[in-house]
Amino acid sequence: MGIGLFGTMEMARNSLAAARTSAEVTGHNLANAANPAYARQRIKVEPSPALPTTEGPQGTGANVAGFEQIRDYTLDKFLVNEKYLTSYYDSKLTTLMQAQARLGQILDRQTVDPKSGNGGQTGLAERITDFFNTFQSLSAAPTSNTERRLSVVSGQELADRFQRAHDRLNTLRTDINSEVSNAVKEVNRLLESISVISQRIGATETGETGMANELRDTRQQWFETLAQYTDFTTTENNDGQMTLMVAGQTFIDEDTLVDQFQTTTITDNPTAKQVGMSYVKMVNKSGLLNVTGGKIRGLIDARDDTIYTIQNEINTVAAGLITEVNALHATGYDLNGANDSLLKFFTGTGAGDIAVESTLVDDPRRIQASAYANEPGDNTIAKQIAGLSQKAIPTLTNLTFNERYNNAVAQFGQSVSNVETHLQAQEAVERLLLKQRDTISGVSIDEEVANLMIYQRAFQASSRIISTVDALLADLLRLK
Amino acid sequence: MRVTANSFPIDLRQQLASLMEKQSTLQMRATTGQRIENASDDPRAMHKVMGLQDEQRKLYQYQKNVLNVRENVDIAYSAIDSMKKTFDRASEIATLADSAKSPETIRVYSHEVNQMLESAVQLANTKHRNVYLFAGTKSLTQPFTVTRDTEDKITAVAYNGNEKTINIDVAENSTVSASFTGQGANGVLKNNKGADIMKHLMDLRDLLSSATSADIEKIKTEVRQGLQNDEDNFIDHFSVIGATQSRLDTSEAIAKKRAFSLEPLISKEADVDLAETLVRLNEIQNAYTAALQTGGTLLSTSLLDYLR
Repeated sequence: MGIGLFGTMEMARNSLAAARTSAEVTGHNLANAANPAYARQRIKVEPSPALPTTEGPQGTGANVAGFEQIRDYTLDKFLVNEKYLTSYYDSKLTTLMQAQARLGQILDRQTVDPKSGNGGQTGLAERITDFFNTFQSLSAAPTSNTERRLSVVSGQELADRFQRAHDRLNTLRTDINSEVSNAVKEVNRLLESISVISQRIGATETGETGMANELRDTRQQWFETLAQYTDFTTTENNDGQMTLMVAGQTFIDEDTLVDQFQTTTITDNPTAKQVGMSYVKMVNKSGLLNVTGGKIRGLIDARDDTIYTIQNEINTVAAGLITEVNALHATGYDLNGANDSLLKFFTGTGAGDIAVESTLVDDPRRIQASAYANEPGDNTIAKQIAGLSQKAIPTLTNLTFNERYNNAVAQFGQSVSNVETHLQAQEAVERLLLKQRDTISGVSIDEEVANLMIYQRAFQASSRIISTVDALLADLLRLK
Repeated sequence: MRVTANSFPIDLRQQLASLMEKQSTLQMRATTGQRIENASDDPRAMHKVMGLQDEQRKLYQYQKNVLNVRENVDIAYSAIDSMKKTFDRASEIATLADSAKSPETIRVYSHEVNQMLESAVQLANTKHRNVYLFAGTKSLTQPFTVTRDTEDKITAVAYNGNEKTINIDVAENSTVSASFTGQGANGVLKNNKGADIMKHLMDLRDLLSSATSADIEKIKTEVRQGLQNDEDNFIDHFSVIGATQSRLDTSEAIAKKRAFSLEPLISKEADVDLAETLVRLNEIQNAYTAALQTGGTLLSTSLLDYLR
């Protein structure tokens, strides 16, 4: 005995259900075709148990066994790892580009510099040269009030450039504190969300792995978002519970959120670059959290290394300039023949507070350009100050002011360029991995539509079986 | 390899973004003519350009210094030349005044010499841009002040300047003396080799005024020698000024030439090869158009177009 007409009818009904469910899954795939986080699904159809007959086991059709998500979890982990590297370089580059713009050392060959007749630069470098050049002019006309006024104005312009560069970089470093703070908030929000969704995955998948496909898609998406901010590792135990660690510290323990990020400042003997800067710690533990990747590390590295270095270099040049110019100026005599050994040309101690002494601004005759009392026509001091432009300064590792500053700018440019190169390479790696994942998990519309045709035909064929069996049954009924 | 619904748009988006970025960079280079703008574009080139531009600015300043010095030297030359012309007439009078002329005629010469003395004092106190040219480094002090008698004649001329001059940079480690002293080893009016034009003019005037035969003799034996020393001093200064002017011309020419020769070096580092840039821009534009065309075709075609 076989399965009979009613059995065949039941088999066709199951086939119809399988074809319909397959079409539904295809519809679900097509609906998510544009969602890059989505991993395509397949219906798992398995043959129904065979019915033992006298002729042997007879097939009874097919049943839907479940839904399968096409995902390569190893690739997903790789992608998370690459994401925090990409994000690290990306945030670092963005920040350094801002710093470069704020530094303002831009080459402009189209604008003709009226002072030199050549295409110029618009930053500190030419202001330093111009400052010494005005003292050259003063040395050629030491009694000229015009040249004295120009020396003061040039000193003011230079001081202004120093202050602006310093302040802009300082503001950027302070702004980065806010960015770190915002990133920490985002990390905490994501940690909380990942913990919650992991618990839901656990609850959904209890005993039935594969049921929480969409939740896993979303969690993977959040992992990748979290990787933009920080590096982390995840592990799953045999029960599917997830543990998330950052820098060896546990933040989610078996789906439960146990700690969060917090911004902090270093109060215990901070170095100069650390004063007033924000870092990251755990809420429940003291000590800094050594985040090594993602936006947070990119911001901190850019702020504490490259930007601090150029800011410090500018400060060193400014401090050297103040010291050297003032030391010479203190020995000179003004147009009235008087020496005031306490009268500085520049006030302040560095790039942050350098300014031309107000006495000289009010009365440029007080510039002490002569080396001798009552010899206003002497230019010794003015000439010596002008000569500083070519003097190897001991506090600047025996470089001139321009050389030290130019080196700092080139070094800064090299750092930016290096990060740019790293980012390009990193983006290429990430693109490749994304492509690989898309190859495996992405939805192909053509493929889905072709499958849909198969499901449609299967549905039509199953319907035909039902109508055929129905006709057979009708024929049987007509026999009486 | 499976190609999915997202593969084409993602690839196309990335390729278009990359091509747009390249077009933007090349277009910027073509319009500005610059290969680099920021240090990160080419740190080594930027460093070199900054150094070269620093050098250019310094050379330009040296040219300005040369102009300043030349101005001073020219004015001084003009003043000394005027003094020399005055002096020439005094020398002539010293020669003309002999015993063959009547005392009255000689006394007329005395009046003329007195006026020359006044002119000489005036020229010795020449000011340019509010600075006394012949005061050494005490250039705000009137260098020559006079004492007059009851007839308002100059009886003594005192020098209030000093014997120092200043040097001005006209190139690296190269300076030119840019000021003059009225008195001293190289004084324009009085030096250590017997030149003292004020004294000699006063002596000539006074001797001409009294016009005794002894005075006339003294003019021949003493005053003429003094005037000869003055003439030598003027000639010395003319030659020094001439040499200085020549040196200034040379320094200026060298500075200009060096600044000019730096320009190609800067250009080599900072400027684009326009032909190469335009060719590359054209290539990228073609690639961009091709990407748009092929992308548009592929994106608008699917299996759905062929199903009924």
